[in-house]
Amino acid sequence: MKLIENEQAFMLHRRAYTDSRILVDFLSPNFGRVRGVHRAAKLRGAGRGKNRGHLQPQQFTLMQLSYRGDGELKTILSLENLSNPIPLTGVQLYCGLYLNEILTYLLPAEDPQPHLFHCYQSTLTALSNSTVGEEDICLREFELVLLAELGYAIHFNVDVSGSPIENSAESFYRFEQELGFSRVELGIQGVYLYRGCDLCAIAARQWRLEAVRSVAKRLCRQAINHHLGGRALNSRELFLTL
Amino acid sequence: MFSPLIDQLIQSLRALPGVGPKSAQRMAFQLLERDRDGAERLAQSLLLAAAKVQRCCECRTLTEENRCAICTSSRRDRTLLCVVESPADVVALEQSATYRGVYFVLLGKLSPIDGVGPKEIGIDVLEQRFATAELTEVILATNPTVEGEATSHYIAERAKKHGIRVSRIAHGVPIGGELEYIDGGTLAHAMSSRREL
Ligand SMILES: [Zn+2]
Repeated sequence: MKLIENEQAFMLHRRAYTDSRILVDFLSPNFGRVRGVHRAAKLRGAGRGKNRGHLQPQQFTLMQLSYRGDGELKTILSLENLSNPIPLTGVQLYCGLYLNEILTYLLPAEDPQPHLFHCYQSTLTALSNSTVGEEDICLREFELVLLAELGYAIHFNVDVSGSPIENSAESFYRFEQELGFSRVELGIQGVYLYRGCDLCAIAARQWRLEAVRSVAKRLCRQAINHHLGGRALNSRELFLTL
Repeated sequence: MFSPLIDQLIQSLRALPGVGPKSAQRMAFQLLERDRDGAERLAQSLLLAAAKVQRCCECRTLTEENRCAICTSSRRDRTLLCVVESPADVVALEQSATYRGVYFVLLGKLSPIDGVGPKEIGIDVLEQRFATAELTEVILATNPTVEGEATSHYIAERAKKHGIRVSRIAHGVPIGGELEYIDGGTLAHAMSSRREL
């Protein structure tokens, strides 16, 4: 039986399984998304002293995980926090929950994701340091890496014919899923058009302009929805303005 | 192995938290062999409770009345509203005997992956309350988990929109605890929400 020891991991989600056990989804560098059964009381630090309520593993905390099992559902042997939770507050929390939701639904099980894992970790840190109203930048950068790692990279500097995207406010492009951008004349009906300059800004990760960020949001959202195949993301509901 | 009725009883007992097949069997035989009166009373109470207990129309806690005892009490301060996740939290806070206001019970917490959004935990009902009731303070007492914190933030934003003061219960070192055994997350929280003496 496969035994994995001392793998770094972040918990993506936890749900009740039986009375004393929980079902936990993790993101790990060498095994990607892993699901395991965890005996809640086994978590180190839990149940000490007179503290009857036991501590549950928390999201956004770097942990060390050992498990065994050949099937999709692993048996978690040990789970230990390696650091304090990355402190997210307010909207940052919604963002974190959103990242966990897209990872849960987009990542195939047990596919190594070393780059994505480190990107996830640095995104959480960036989120915890982000200023109010600029959390979306962290999300976009992560989404672009996620799409690329899944093999669905959006190419922002070349169009479908292989020509470079023209860095101009007067060149227009349309976008098609899994194909990319193609140059069109202004005035074409019924399609959303992107300006070359906005696409070049995204390619260079220049997020200063609100317009660039909203174009990036639109494109990432379309791409992610496409790969979710119709599943709605509930965490988006949290961001709806008051 | 058992006759159908006994088997059915054992299976039904397993609905209880922490009851596996062995303890369900033990419970069933205890009731059938030694405590028929107890079994009758249990059956009656279960039937009655399952038929009559519903949510309080005001605070959503479980009660057989239309409005629960706390919501109808004249001794409670109705301008103070404490938001908790579950009826068990109400009981815990009541036992601490430190709170004189009324409650709102979410019966859950925001958990997008599980499909639990604002509507599922009655935040639309709560917002109605913000809009219509005379509230001086909303006290958020959700659990100190990621979902509990997200829920608190979501409610706080809505309460502030109605100009209501919002507070969050403190999280930190338990009384009688020892710092060296407390997890880093809790300590970090306790440190960042320290107060001046
Ligand atoms: Zn009530």
